[in-house]
Amino acid sequence: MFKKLFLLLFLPASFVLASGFSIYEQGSRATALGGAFIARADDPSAVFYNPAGISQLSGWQISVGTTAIQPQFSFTGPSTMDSKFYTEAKKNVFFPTHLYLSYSIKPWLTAGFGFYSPFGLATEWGTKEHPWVGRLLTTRTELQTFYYNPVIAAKLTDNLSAAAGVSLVQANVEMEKDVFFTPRNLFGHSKLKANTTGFGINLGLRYTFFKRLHLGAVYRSSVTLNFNDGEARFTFPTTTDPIINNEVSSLFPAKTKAKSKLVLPATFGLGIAYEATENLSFEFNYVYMGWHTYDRLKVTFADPVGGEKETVSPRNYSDSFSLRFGIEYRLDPHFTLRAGYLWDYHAVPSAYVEPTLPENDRHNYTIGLGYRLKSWSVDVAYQILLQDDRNIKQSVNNFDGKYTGIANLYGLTVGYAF
Amino acid sequence: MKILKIFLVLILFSFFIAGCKLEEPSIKKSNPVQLNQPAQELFMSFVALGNSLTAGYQSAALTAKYQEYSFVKQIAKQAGLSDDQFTQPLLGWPGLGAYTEKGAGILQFNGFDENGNPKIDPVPYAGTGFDPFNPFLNAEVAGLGRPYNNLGIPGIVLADVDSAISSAQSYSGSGLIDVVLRNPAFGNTTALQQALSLQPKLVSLWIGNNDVLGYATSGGTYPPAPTDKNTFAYLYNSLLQKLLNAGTKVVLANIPDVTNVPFFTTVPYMVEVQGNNIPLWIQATDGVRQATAEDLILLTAKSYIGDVSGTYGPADVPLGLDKSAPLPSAFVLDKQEKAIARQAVADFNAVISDLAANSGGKVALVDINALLVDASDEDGYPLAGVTLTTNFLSGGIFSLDGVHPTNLGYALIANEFITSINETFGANVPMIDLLQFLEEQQPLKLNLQKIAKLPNMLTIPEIFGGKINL
Repeated sequence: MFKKLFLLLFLPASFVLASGFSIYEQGSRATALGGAFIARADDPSAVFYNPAGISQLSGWQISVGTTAIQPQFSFTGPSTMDSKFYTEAKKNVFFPTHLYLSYSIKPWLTAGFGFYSPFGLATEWGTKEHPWVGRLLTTRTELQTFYYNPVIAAKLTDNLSAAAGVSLVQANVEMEKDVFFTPRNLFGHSKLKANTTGFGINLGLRYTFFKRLHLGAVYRSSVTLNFNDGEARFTFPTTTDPIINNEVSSLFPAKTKAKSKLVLPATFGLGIAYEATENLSFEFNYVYMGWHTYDRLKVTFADPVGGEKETVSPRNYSDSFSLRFGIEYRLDPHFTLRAGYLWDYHAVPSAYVEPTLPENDRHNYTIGLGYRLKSWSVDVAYQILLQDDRNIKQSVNNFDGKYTGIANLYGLTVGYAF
Repeated sequence: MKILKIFLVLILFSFFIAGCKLEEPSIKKSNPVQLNQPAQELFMSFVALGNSLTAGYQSAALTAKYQEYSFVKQIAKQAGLSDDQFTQPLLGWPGLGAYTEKGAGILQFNGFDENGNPKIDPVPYAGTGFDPFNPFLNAEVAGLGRPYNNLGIPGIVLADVDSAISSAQSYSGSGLIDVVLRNPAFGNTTALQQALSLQPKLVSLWIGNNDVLGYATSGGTYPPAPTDKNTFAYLYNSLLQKLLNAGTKVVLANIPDVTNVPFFTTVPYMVEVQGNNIPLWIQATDGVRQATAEDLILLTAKSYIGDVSGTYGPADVPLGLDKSAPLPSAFVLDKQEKAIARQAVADFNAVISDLAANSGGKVALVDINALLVDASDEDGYPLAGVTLTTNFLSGGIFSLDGVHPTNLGYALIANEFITSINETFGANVPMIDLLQFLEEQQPLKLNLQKIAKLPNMLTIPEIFGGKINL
């Protein structure tokens, strides 16, 4: 059959995920500390950073906040066209929010709940009126995840606490790109949309030596997302030639079901914190992310699209890690100053970098301020993400050029203890 | 202390307001290229010699609509040459070429039939006003007072370049020799002589394909062997020396391996009959036998497989499906013939690369074979999200005849030539922007009346996937 020949045209763009697109900023205090919070973990955001930490919290505690993320990305190229051609991705702002609750049931037993979005973000390039040079790779990609995460933490000894939790994960994805129908040299547009739920667990440990030195370890499992009930839409312009129009409509369903699977990576983190004085403390974290789970993207269609019911594209991500360092200084009983630095290692191998995920190693600098008054706390954080420029020379898509990126993150979290 | 606190709060607050911005480059796109001295000199007079691939032949015909995309025209355009500075023997629509028993003129793709098979038909001359005996686009083209810059002549072999003056007096007998060379008006001169009379500074020479392709596309029947390699070496060397002695620089291209061309790779050697895959019966060099994966079934065989008319075998026996009615040799490049063709390509390419290497920098070589080998693997030729392959119809590189490139295929070839010219001669001719090219190739507004008149004369049934509906 003729129709099987269009396989390679319709590979959807990749999901927008990588080390840098995992969102580790799930609490403004931790954010201001460069995300180094696994060992300390002494506010309700510990549900995310290290659930064992909530065993330090007394009574009822609640905290809620958001991190405004404002990324900017650009691509210069492709070198096959004009190695100096500059395109900037559309500037969007995202507001992943977080909400945490903890309740000390007994002195040794604490329950907690977290709502947060540890994976996601979006990229958008060009517009309908002014399509950009990479339109056949991606025009818009958006992924959101929401974790609903109850945990339970126990003090096993005076120094050692442990925690376990489960996460119900809700995920939405939308991917858009243009497609090219080679026999007629015709540009069309594809849009994939899906949502699903998944399930994961998280574990935490925390140990304190001499009351001043804290160690923490945390594990968050991978989460398999089966997008079984997605929707794919294909639109082509109507030409003046009815033969072409019929051909296109017979080969490309206007709407069909699409299926795919995505495994969010497991995360493993270790932290060490030291309280140098009563007011000054440091923390260092190592966080490892198992991105190798994203080795390929396969989409299965209910009706053949360009003659194909299935498309597979290799992604071949590799595991990555980040190094995080944070310092906190208490000025007085009300004000606390924080600063941090973190370095993120890339997850996407050079040949597989494409504009859906303009990713590379990243340096991040953070600064923040905490204010406490009675039962209230307010934390603010600012983070600047500086991505190393990435020159791609041997892209599997023959889309070589230079990617640059930067992001501003603004965090605000408000807490209240009952 | 209080002041410090306020100060710190203010600093933090200022971050919130300002944020950091991505540094934009001062130059957001390249300036148009000014041709450097070597490029200007080369393109003071640019002449092309060769066969159909140079002429801009596509979908089994030569016609102005596609001649505009001949790779040499595309190179000339990149070098800033106008239509007057690089002239071509432009022909009217639907052009000269495919004289099949089903009609004449260029092949057109008319969508799919109810089974999803492509309908590919030649455009008939009737109703187009086209005169095969005066095929030129207009009187200006026909009456150009000097030789054309594009002297590529479809169908010619290597020996013709320096000897043929007319269809009748040529090795290949190509009817298009008369159209391109316009003898006797041009003093019964050969393509080479006409080229040299234009005092070229750069000559594109892509020749020799038909010295093996004629053998291969006829299934090893006509001619019965590729050109002898020693003859080829002698002729090629003497042709090249004559060009170099005239003081021109030369850009050569080698010959693609036939096994990467869809004319040979599209039709599978097995057909599905009632759910079973059965190898075709073929007339091979070593006798009548069933085909294997080593044998290549030609694109031309497709409409005859299963034929029961008795024209090519016993009546009422489906052709190719029974021992008593094997596919005739002309439809098959069997294992031995394929080896002969590939050996000829290898020999010819060795000659071409040796001559290029020993030319003292006056000859640039383009490895077209490597380009097609690259595009024919499973990754194809990726281009910013679209993957071009050597597949028939869907691949984007080859036109409807399965041998000659599409506009885009010719653009890829032009870029290979430009790269080689720039590297060898220190020129800076800009490459074709292929993405922009895709945008420009959007479907034209077609003449619906013309489409409606098209009879459905030649349907190639189920070219793909090895299925034959019986």
